[in-house]
Amino acid sequence: MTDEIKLIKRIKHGDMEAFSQLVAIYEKKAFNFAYRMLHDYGEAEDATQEAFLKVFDKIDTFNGKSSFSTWFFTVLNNLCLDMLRKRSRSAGAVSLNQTTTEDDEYELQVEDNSPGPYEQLQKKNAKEVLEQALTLISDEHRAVIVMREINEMEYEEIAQILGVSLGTVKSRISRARLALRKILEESKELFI
Amino acid sequence: MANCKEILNLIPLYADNVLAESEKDMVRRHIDSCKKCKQEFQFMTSIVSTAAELPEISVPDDFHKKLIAKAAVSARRKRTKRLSLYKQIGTVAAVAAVFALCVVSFGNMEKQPNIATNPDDYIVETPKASENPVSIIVKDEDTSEENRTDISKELSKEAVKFQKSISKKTTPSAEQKEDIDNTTPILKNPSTAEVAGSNTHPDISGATSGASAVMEEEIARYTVATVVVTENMSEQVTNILSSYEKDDIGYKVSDINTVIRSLAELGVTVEAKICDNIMNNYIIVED
Repeated sequence: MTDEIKLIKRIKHGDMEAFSQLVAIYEKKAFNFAYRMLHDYGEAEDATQEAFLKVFDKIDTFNGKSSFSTWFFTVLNNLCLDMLRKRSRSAGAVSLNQTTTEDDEYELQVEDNSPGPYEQLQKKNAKEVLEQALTLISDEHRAVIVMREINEMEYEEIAQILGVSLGTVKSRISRARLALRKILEESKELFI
Repeated sequence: MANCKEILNLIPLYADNVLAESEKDMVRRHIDSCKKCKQEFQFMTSIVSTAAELPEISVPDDFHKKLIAKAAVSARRKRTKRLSLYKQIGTVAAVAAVFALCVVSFGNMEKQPNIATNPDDYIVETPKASENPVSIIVKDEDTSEENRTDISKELSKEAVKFQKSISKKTTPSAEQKEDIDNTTPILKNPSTAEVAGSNTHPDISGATSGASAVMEEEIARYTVATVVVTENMSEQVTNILSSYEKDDIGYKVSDINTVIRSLAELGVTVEAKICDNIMNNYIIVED
C-alpha cells in the first residue's frame, strides 16, 4: 500500500494530521495550476482551498479506482473553469464562435473588447511573453497547456481529468500549442 | 511527399514524441529537407520548454494553516450532522418498534381462539327448573377483556336454547311473570310512548364471574307493554296486533314504539316496562 493510500485511509477515519500531510504533498502543484489558469493570486488561493475542502468532504467516496492526483485535479480544473466562466459573464457580453473540429469537438473562441493579443505583448523575455500569451488563449487550451507543460502530466492522466479520449487530448494539445505559436509569432525572435 | 501545412500540424505532437511511427518518419524526413519547417519545429520545442521553465509561484504563507482550520470545522459539522441523523433514525426506529408491537398485539387479539369452538374452556351450568330458569351462570377461566365478545356469542346460544324451552309452555311460568313484574318500570304514561329496547345480547342475571359481570353491561333490555283493553276497543286493538306473532307471553312486537303509539292513540292504557329475562319486545293484552 502506497504512502498516499495509507494517508487517505487515515483521513477517512478522521485523522486531520494525515490530511495535513496530503495537502503538503499537493499544495504547490495545485496552487500553481490554479494560478496559471486564473492568473490571479487571490482567486488561485480560493480555488485551491475549495478543491482541497471538497475532496476532504467527499473522501469517503474515493474508492482508489483512479489515482488521488487525477481525482483532485479534476475537481480543481472544474473549479477554475467555473471561476473563469463567471469572470467572463461579469466582464460583459461575449460572442462565442463555435467550430467543429476533426474529432467533432466544439472549440470555443471567446472574443472580448480588449486590445488584440499582439498589441498586448510586451517584448521582455520569452517567459514573460509566454505568461501573457497563456492568458490570451481559450480556457480549455490553457488547461491542457498547464497540465502538460507546467504540471508535466502524461497524456493518459490529462484524458482522465478532462473525461475525454486520448485522441481528443492529442488533438487539443496540438491546437493549443498552435494557438500559442500564433500569438507568439511577433515575438519569435525571443524563442529561436 | 507531405506538404508543409500538413507537417506544421503534426509538429506539436512530434515534439512530444506521441506520433505513430509512420507519421514520425514522415515529419523527420521533411524537416531534415525543409528549412522553414525545421525552423517551425525549433520554435515549437522552444515554446514547450519555456512553458515548462515558467517560475513556480509561491503558495501563500498562511495557506496551509487556514485550510486545515476550515477542514476541522467541516469535519465537526459533519460529525454533528451524523449524530443528529443517528438520533432521528433512533427516534423513527423506536416509533416503528412501538407501532409494530401494537400491530402484533392487535393481531393476537383477533387471533384468540373462538370460544365457540373450544367450549371445554368454559363451564356452563344450566340452572335447574326449580331455580331461576332464565339465569345462566358462566364461569370463564379466561376473564381477559378480549374474550368478552366471544363469551357473549356463547351466551347467546345458551339464551336461544332457553327461549326455545320456554316457548313450549302455554303460559308464562310464575317465576317468569314475577321477573317481568319486578323489573324496573320506565313508562306508565301512555302519551309518552317512546320506549327503548335493544336487541344485542341476551339477558343474564345473577352472573357472578368476572367475565359475566362484564357481560351485564352489554345485556339487552326488552320492553314489555301491558295494554288494558276495554270491550269496545278490543276489536281495534286486535286489528293492530293481528299481524304480530303471539306466544305464551304475549304478542312479539319488534317495532314496539310504533305499536304503543298506535295503541295510545286509540285511548287505551299502556304500561311499558324494560324487562330482563325475555328475548323480545312484548305487548300483553289484559281485559
